Amino acid sequence: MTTRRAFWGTSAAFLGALACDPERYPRLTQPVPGRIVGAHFELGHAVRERLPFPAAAPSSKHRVLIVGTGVSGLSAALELARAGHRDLAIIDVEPEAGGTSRAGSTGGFQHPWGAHYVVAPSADQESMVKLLTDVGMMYIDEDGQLDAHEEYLVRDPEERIFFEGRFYEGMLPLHALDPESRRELPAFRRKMLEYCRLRNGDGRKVFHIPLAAAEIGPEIERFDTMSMAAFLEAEGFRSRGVRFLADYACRDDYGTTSAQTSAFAGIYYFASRDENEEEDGRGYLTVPQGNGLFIRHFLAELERFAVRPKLGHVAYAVQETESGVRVATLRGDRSTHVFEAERVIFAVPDHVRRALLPQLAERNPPLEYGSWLVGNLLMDKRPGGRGAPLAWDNISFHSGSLGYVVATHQAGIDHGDTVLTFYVPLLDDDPKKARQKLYSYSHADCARLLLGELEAMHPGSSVHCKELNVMRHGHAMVRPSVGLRASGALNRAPVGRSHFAHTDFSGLALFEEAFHHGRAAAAEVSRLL
Amino acid sequence: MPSPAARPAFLFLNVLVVATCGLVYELLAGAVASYILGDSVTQFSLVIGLYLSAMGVGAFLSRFVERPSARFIEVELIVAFVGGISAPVLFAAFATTAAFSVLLYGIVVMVGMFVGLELPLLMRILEGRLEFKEVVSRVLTFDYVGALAASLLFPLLLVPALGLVRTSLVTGIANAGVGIWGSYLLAQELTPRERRRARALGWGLIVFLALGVTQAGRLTSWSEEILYDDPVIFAKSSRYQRIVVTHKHGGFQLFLDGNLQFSSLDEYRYHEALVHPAIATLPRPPRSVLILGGGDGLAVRELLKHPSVAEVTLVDLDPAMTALGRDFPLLVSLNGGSLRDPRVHVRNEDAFVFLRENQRRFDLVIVDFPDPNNFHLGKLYTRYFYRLLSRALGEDGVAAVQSTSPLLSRRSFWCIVETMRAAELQVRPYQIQLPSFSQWGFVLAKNAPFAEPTTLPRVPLRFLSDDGMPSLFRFSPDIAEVPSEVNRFDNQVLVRTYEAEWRALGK
Repeated sequence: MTTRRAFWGTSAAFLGALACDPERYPRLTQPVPGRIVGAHFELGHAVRERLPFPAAAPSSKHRVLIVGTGVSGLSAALELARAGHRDLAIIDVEPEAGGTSRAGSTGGFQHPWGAHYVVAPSADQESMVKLLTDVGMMYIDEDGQLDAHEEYLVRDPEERIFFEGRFYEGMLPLHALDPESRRELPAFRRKMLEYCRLRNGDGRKVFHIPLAAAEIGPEIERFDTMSMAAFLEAEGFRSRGVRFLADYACRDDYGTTSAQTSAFAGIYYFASRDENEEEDGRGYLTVPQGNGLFIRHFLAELERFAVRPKLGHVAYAVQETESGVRVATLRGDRSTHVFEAERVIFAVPDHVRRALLPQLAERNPPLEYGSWLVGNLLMDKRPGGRGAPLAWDNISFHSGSLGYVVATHQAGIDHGDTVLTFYVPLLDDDPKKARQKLYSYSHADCARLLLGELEAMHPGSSVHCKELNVMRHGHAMVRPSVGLRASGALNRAPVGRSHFAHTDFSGLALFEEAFHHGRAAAAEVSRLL
Repeated sequence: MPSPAARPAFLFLNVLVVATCGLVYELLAGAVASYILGDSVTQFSLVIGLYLSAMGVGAFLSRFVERPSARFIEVELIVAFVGGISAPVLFAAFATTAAFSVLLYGIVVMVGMFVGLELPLLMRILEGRLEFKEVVSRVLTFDYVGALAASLLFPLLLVPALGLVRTSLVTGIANAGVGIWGSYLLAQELTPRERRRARALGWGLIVFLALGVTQAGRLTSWSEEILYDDPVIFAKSSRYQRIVVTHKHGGFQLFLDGNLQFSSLDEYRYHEALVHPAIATLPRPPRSVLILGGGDGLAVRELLKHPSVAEVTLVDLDPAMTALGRDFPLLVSLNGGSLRDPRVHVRNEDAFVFLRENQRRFDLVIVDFPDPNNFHLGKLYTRYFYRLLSRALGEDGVAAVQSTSPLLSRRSFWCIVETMRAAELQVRPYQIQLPSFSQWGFVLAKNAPFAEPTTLPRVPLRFLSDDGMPSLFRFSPDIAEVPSEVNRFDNQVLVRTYEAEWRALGK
């Protein structure tokens, strides 16, 4: 039975363009089934309580302990295992491995809970190429050319944008925009193309992926000292279209507005991509479960070395001894365990690192994190809309959310039920306040926000939402704020026998960066074992 | 402003207009009903019967109406609105809802009832101004003259010049005009507030309906003009598409979402060409066959002419389509009940998903999808799809692929051929003349190189012959190969090409 849930007009949703807040949308008259999944805040808070190291607890010994099962933790583990170090322990606070690349399923459809695509690498990104050929997304043909298997390249139509009541194909409603925007947009793209084409002495791109392995000279480094919004202002880009594009880019990759993002990170979004992508398609690789595919691959590979993550363990205290490091963990049943290892790789976000290793505070200023709300909506009818047809990525010019991705698009399932994955970054200037706000949302608040976003694009369609599950990522993405690169916060050097791996150390939350830092930390540890 | 003495004469003019409009609505409903539902005798009888009896109900109810002058004007405005939008609403509903007939008869009854109120109210307004015998005689005279006017205007002037939708809207404007005019003629019987309201509403309605007239082209382009030149004998909105069967001198046609799929008059040419040349390339008679699309059962009919065929798997998305092929009498007699044959297994699935999951190999695969006019269909023409197809063909297996018209959409046809080559299939494009459509194209495909088939299997055929075989594989210069891009999952160039070609044809 269809339940009457929607009743609202669209006008409310168009007001106050950017902020995504449940309060802005009408209350739901009937609850939507579903729940808040993931995130063990309670256990996580044990870290902040700074409990003393347990006097006596069951313990286990390993050569290397890895804390964190996101992309950086698992790629570090796999790299070590492949180098012959199989006596590994991997732990994570969450009940499931994957960090912000986790995947799930609703109504029989696989969908992401976070990161959901990677940019197809160029041939010189050797480790990414190896990963993508290992998982079968790419291949090297008889002529030695790297190519992607068609079914993993985002299926056309890739994206559409909702603008003033109508959908347009692509990321911008080009022909519907004002003349100033239409004039400025090509100029902006040309400007970004200049950065895209910048080469170092060795012929490598300056805006290389991963950034961690790029060589950035001082003339580019200066973009770290201004915001993307200030950069646009200084370059004379003031049109609505360019401002939207820059803002969208910052939101899409970093969960921030262009005023909160350094110009360096803003430019990196555009300049790191393939300069031919305009003509050649954007070369995004994706599957219905998003980057959960890579997590599954890492876990399956580790399984071959009989390495299995231990989940539901929160590391809360660290002791360094003469021959190694001892890490005490707490479980849901309040039992403790001590992992002893020669070396530890902390593949966890900054606030966890700092709580465990207070000495970091002397060296690394704290990082700021943006919060995200990700919602998966099971729909018994696909949203339509005037203009361009349903695409993979469906965004709105009038919202601060990133719109939704259709989970069945890449699978070629075009009829019947589907799942829409909504991505909502919390764009408040104060990240702590945003996080508190996010954690205060009930399921009903989340539903009100997400269905409000849906209604704004598709009036009347929220009655077709049969189930709505959400995940609240409090520390979803490091914020690439102004001055971050020079602040010392990105220093990844080990502290004693503790090593670090995380996308944070690039100052950008991107798969390629996490993968790079995981492998780099593993190489570092491997040399010392 | 007419003088009080002149009022009765003007009121009789009102009778004339009102009577004309009332009959126009009735004719409109009858025309729309028989046009869309077919069977015009039944539809006209039903509509006229319902309309007249509803008028009777209206006449009966008129006795409960007080202050006839004020109510008459209100009735005019209601008739103007409901009657005015009747045809556009019915056309819009036809394309989008299954409950079309409920709406149709509902509108007929409603308009009939209010039209039925008109004359009794007018007669009561005239009561006391003239003698009773004068009132009856003149009102009925003007009523019948109005009927004559409508029955002449409707077929000779209104429909040819305006079409059904605009006729409906223009008639509504006339009714609203009568309402406004009445507010002047009967000014003394109305309160100032009633006068103001009647004029405001009347003008509002006129503006609204006039706007409708300017927009009518958008509506009729996707219903009246594009779709069907002939009576509709079956129409159903399934979950996936709008299925319509029309009837035309001795034959019938199937439309999906307004696109012609076949005409019974020449479909045998199409289906013989789709099935038998492929079989002619096989080293031994086929046993296992896969049909993707083709829920009409016509390709199956051709297949079952081959006694070797032991098993046919037919994958068609829409259960409503395969049910039509199995149960719709006209289609059953055309396909020879092929979908009821025990060798045929129908699966209602998306062919794309089916082929991706499929591990089986088939001797013969028939690919018979609608033309690639949207992205859902476009994925069924991608290199990725043809790689899946290639996997479903064994070493000797053969596929025959419907691949649109090389004459009307030449670049699209050769794009399909090029895409199949890019999937490492060996291809043999061919074409036939299909009077209902145009020149039509197909592609034979195998995993290993193969020669053009020359000798057809010995089964009863009406169109194909061994003599004619070589000419199928020749393409005249106006349809010869043009360089083409490969249609990939991630670029869908074919949908864009196809759309551009059809737009250029003005379709």
